[in-house]
Amino acid sequence: MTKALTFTVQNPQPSNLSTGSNGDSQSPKQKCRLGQLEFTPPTTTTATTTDTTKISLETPNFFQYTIQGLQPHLVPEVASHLESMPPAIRVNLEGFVKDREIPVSTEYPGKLHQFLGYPENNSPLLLLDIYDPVILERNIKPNSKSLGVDTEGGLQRITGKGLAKIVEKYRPDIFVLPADYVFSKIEELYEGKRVKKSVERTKNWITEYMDTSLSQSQKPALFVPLTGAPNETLREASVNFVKELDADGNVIDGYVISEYGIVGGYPLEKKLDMAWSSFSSLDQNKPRYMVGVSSPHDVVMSVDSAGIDLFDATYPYAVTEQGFASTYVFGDISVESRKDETLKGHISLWETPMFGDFGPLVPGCTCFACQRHTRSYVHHLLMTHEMLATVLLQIHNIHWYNNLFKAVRSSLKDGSFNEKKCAFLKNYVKQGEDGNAKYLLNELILLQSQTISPTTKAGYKKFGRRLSEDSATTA
Amino acid sequence: MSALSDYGRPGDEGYENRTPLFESNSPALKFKVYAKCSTTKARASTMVLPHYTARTPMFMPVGTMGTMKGITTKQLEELDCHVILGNTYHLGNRPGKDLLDKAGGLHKFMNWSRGMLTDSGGFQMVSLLKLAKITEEGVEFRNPHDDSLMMLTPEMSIELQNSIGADIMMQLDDVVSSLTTGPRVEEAMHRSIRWLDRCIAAHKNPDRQNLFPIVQGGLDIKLRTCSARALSERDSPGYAIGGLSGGEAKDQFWRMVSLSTDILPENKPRYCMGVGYAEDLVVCSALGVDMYDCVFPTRTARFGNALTMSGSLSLKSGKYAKDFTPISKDCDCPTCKTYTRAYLTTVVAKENVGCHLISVHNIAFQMQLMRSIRRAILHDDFPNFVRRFMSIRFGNTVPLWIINALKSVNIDLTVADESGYLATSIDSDFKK
Ligand SMILES: [Zn+2]
Ligand SMILES: [Zn+2]
Repeated sequence: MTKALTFTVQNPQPSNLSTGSNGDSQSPKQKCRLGQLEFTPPTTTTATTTDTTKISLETPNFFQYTIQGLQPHLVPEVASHLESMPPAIRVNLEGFVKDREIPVSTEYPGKLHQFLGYPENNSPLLLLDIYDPVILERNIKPNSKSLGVDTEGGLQRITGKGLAKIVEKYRPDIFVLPADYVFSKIEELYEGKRVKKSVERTKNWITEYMDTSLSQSQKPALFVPLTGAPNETLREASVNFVKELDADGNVIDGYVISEYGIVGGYPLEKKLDMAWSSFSSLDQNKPRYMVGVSSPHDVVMSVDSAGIDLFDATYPYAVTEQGFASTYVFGDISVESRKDETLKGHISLWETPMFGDFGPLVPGCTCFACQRHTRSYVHHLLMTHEMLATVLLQIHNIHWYNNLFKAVRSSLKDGSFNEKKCAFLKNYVKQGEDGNAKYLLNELILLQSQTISPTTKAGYKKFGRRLSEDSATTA
Repeated sequence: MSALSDYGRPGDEGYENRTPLFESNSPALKFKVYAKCSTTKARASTMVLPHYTARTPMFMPVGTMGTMKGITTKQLEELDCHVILGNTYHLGNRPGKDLLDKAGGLHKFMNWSRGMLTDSGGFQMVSLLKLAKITEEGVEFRNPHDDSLMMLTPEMSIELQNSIGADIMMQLDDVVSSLTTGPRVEEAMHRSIRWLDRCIAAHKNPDRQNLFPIVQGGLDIKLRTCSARALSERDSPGYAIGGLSGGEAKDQFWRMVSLSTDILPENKPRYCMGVGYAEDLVVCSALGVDMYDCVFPTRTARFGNALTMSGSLSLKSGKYAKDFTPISKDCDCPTCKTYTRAYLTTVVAKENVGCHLISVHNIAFQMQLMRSIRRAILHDDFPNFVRRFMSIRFGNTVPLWIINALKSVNIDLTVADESGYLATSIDSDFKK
């Protein structure tokens, strides 16, 4: 049986051998790579024609971050204004879990794609993962048998067997196998006990999942999370388990590195080193998906230092929730008319000078928001807590993020990646007053400085904080 | 007989190849009545405005701040909105007159190319600011920011509405609650006429903006008659019926509407302010009203309520968690074509985008209802339409005020029609 999901690594053009601006010479083994992820959807029972449309994704790329299958703030007819978006979405299972292990929506007769509103013969590649990457703090208490999900009604446990049943009903194209992620501070990680337990539990849950027979004819492609940070032995144990699981090379279709799984809390360079050490003894021809790390700076670094192929795209959402519009550029910034703004990485639409500025969010941007609306209008919408503010900003920010990936890929193709990467890091990593590096495009810093989204509803909210009712703004 | 839903489909409503029965030509508004119902006072017309040719009877969704609940202006066009409403008081605060002047008006500021209507700001002031005091000069209020005493005069309202640049502006009127009785109602009615004349004098753009007077007079037949007559003499491009929808008994409400449409010139559009429930739209159209506005459809969407012909669905309640049908199978809005009630239940409580999905449906619902009203009038099938509508919405027990209102325009719901439908009355206002 041929696989529905295939991945082909294409080695990038070697970069110019000139030394980078930071003085480093070209590393002997280049980790960054171009690839092609292809998916052939199962033939539908209702399709009248036999031709199936193959979904194709050039990598490095991203799965669109969604909330219940929708881009944050964007209904489908608005999202349709976005051009050439990757035809791949990420869906978080925890968004569907309420007061029972197997969500009620599994009773829907069709696949999850259709429940989420995508037509049967024209759905994106759908990846189902368990946790929402924008929620960074959790109360869940997993045990050896089951993982936990925080719901509005309290903790809900899900076993490996339960997951198998959910997946059987939802029929995602890709499923990210469960892992016991350690949502805790780095000091606790050093202790090692918790991490050791996490590697064991992950093994147990996955084994239970795999042992539960799936009746459907076409099983989803499986991505497996690599765990075990920060301990080298445990990391190796995790890798060995994956090797066992994938003994014939046909069980596992991709590897997942997660901010909260393998690399929580460490400096990015260290995270990427650990990720690379796990990858290097695994199959080089399988895609690598990074979750919880999606800022432009981190994307460029991850492509460069760990050969990451796929990302989760939460960054544009974080920018939007601040009331910001992205301005960063990977490549030649001399053509930008507002170089001062380009070099800041984003502009804040809250600022007073925006009040009377009738220009677009970013001059020359071809997105729907920039083509039709002004900074002055978006500023007005923010000041009046109107929901259209975040709609327009999300359109711009995701459009802009998509451009970043296009630029990264084309630079890998024409051999200019290294040069552009150096310029990019020079522009967006500054020396802080305390002597430490200051990342202008750091997603977590962006989230920390955030008060509250201008338009989000009160209550259960994102980015790991539960907002009190009175401090939240409602439109 | 076609199904009720067939009437709401977009496309030909029946205007093609018709010549107007009668019309009026104001400098910035041409109103052409194409069909009159042979039984009721309903009519189907077009209203040529500087920015758009609207078809009436029409519903105008309210976008207080120059935007509507996260919906883009492109979506509003696709939803078949002809005219939207902006609130002068709010827009005067933000973004303010100076910026609107710089932007070249609200149309350009928000990028909306169709019709727009603004209120005078008076009603908002009286309802939002408890300290408002009304004198002959204008509405006196305390600035909520620095507590200073401020004044909104008819001249200032018009100046601000001229800056906003809507196709239709409202006169500043002396607003009293519809529950008020006694000499205050009469004073307000006469003062509103005096203020109208000040508004007309202050209006700078009569060639591209229309100023509508507002019929007042509370629930008093004599006062309302007097107001409607006095305003009709002004030969305005159109007229609003105000001072209602404030909690008065529905049986008095419809009588005041009907009285007003009897007196106001037949060849001018009539706008009943603050009306938006489906049954009110059907009944008032039968009484000869052409325009409506209400915050209800979008406000209720924010709370997860979706409108249907037979009432509203609370999608937050969890009752529909296993319901894999759309909000309405007859609705052609993007939300109903794409999503089930079960899906909407999973998004509506958590995310803004869930509200957007329901707002889209609720606006589409209002627009479809108005299209179906227009089509029924143009096909001279309106009385049948009304009966079918009432049978779907209420079954065999219809609120008394509706039975009375329809009887006044020759539709008797208590007598069986050819389909056998008839209704008895329940003596209470229908609660959604
Ligand atoms: Zn843009
Ligand atoms: Zn609908």
